[in-house]
Amino acid sequence: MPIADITRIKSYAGVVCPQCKKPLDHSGLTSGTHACVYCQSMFEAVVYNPGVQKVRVASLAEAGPHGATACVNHPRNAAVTGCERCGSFICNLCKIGTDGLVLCPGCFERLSVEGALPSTVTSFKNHFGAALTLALFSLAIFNYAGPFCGPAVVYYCIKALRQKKELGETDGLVVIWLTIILGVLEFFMGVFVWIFLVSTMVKI
Amino acid sequence: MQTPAAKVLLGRNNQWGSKQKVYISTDCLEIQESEGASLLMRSGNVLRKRLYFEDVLLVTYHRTYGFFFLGLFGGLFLLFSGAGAVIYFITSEPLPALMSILLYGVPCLIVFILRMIFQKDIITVYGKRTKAELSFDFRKARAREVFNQICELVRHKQEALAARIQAETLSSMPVEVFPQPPGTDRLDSVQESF
Repeated sequence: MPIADITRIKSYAGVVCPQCKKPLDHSGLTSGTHACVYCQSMFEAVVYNPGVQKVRVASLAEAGPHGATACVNHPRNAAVTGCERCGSFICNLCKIGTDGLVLCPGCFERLSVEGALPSTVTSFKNHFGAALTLALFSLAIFNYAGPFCGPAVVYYCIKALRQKKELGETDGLVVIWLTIILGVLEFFMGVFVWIFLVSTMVKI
Repeated sequence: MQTPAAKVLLGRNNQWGSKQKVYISTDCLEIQESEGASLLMRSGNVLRKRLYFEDVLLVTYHRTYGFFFLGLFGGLFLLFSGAGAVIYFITSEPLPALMSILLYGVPCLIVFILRMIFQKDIITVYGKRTKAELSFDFRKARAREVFNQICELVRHKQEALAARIQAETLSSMPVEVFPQPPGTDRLDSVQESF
């Protein structure tokens, strides 16, 4: 990762005042209306205390010599399942359930690096943003770039539609279709502008 | 492999320098953040984070003016009005001065007044590792509905988690060993003698 990207990451400060961003004591908060002790601004709060689920790992000694198979990563732990990719026996500590699969840590890492697990993808291209940028750029220069930008706008919009489908999003589809129409119009208007320009130059 | 669960756009949070879209799915809030407010930055990457309902610590709801926003638009109104006044005093022609005020100054004033009247409702969801923020400029009823919806889902999920933890704790408790009934020792000794 480039250093420029690393410096952009903002650390999460935990529970803070929503107005002045000064830290609040979560254990001392109760549900209801509060005034911040620092800025005196009012806010409504609902407090939760989520429990921590502990992973229970059965040891091989508990299960007996014929009772269980050892985990491939932890020989003292009893395996509870097998990895659905490589078939290794894994214990509760190693078991990773994601995207409908049960995987061992090694396979999980490989698949997430390859981008084969949709839920582990944390960054993706903004295709619609690219399409909109091109469409507005073309309009800004009086559509001279229409013959080039128009097809690119349509291409990026189609990619954006596919991306929306893959991500399971249903918002913004109308805007994407409108941008496709704009891209098509830009193409034809751009072609018309260039034909007009060339014919004028030929006449001169 | 499972197809991703359908998500519903819950709201947005546009700030100076970053744009956030917050989606809701069955078990989490999904935050999609595209950094950079400029048009060219739109074509960059979108970062995706998830805030699971089981991790939520606090949900807040508050109303704010947004003093930077007010200062900016108030300042722009004063700037364009001042420019109009200067133009009038220099040229003595009312039309260019009025154009400056009406075309540029008045829209800024309208935005300023609208923000003063409606303010901005903000819902913040704090988790153990990240937070989500949603802002609503005009739709106050929708903001309240979203706040209630998030609170209800979080409560439901955390109650289920607590029940699961309790069930696991009970199942992992050591089984009590009862003393053997009287006479068992004698029976064993009889069997051994055979």
